[in-house]
Amino acid sequence: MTRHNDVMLDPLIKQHAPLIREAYAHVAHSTVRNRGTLGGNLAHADPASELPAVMLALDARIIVRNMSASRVLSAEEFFLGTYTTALAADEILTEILVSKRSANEGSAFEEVSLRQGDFAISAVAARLTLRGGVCQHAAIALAGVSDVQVRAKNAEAVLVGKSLTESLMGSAADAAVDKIEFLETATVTSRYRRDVTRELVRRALSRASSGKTAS
Amino acid sequence: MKTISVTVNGQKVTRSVEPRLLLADFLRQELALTGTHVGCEHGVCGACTVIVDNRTVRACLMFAIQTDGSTIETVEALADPDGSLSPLQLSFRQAHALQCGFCTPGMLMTATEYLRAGGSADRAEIKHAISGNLCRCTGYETIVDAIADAVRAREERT
Repeated sequence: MTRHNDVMLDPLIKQHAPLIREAYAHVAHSTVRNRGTLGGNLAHADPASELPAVMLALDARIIVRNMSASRVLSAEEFFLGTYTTALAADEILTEILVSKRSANEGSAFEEVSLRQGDFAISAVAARLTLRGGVCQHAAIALAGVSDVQVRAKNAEAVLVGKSLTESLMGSAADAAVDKIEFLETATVTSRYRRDVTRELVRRALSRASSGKTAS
Repeated sequence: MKTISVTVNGQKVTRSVEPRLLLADFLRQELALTGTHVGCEHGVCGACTVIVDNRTVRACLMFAIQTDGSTIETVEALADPDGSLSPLQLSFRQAHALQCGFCTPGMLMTATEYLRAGGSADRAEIKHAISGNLCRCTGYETIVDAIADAVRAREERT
């Protein structure tokens, strides 16, 4: 399987799936990315890991196979919970399919963690397709917030079909955190995670809509 | 047991090892290369960083048998055989980039990869590059100084 750094630094990824490259700036450190693989990361399914959320936001398809057959799963079908995927005991992940970014699409990745490269307290992957200022398609995925990466579908519903304004993006950020039971840990309260997530969603949407994707 | 052949610091080595033997323990216990330090033993601290086939790796997160056929560089490879320090090591000494020295082998190997990749003397970039190496003594500033000095020294030489 492909090492993280090889995916991160691939010119095709930069051109066609910049969200992956942007998120990788938050994934561990170069030395770990020299050895770790994208497929392994997805199969491990840590709920605070960045790439599973990116794959959710990209509507990636994940191909798994055993000795006799293969299956294609959507990212949503693949991730079931903490360290838990739809992989059967005799299957391995062999391929990840991601669509090329469309012409009017912007994306952004935002994260808060305790240290550079650490797992996310909260992370947001967002993708917006705009036409004439109107949101045609929205995909927002959250990591670190609960026991599994989630798509913020009610936030997406707030955006689609509307003219994108600061206040609409604020409403979407409110909707994104509305239904989630945020993780409470010894060092990070659920209240803090919720507040941070709301702000990260707002920032991600703002950046995705302005086309200022970080390189 | 499985037999592996690797090139460590320029020397060809063949050993029979347990499949579960970590690269860090292979280097330290089988080859007596104790410059590679073992800190957290789970990939967080960076003290065990070595270079395998031109890329830094955590020697505590890799099995020795995974390196079969590879070229390994440890901190012992940096200085000349007569003991004279490499330019990077000299920079560390001059900038006082270490106190207890535990993190230093990992810092040096990470910085070696950074220098070979043509890394710049920009402090933010250097901090990013060493973000996977923990130091509990220096507060990092002098380590960043040392690596920046090494970059400038390299630029002067070329």
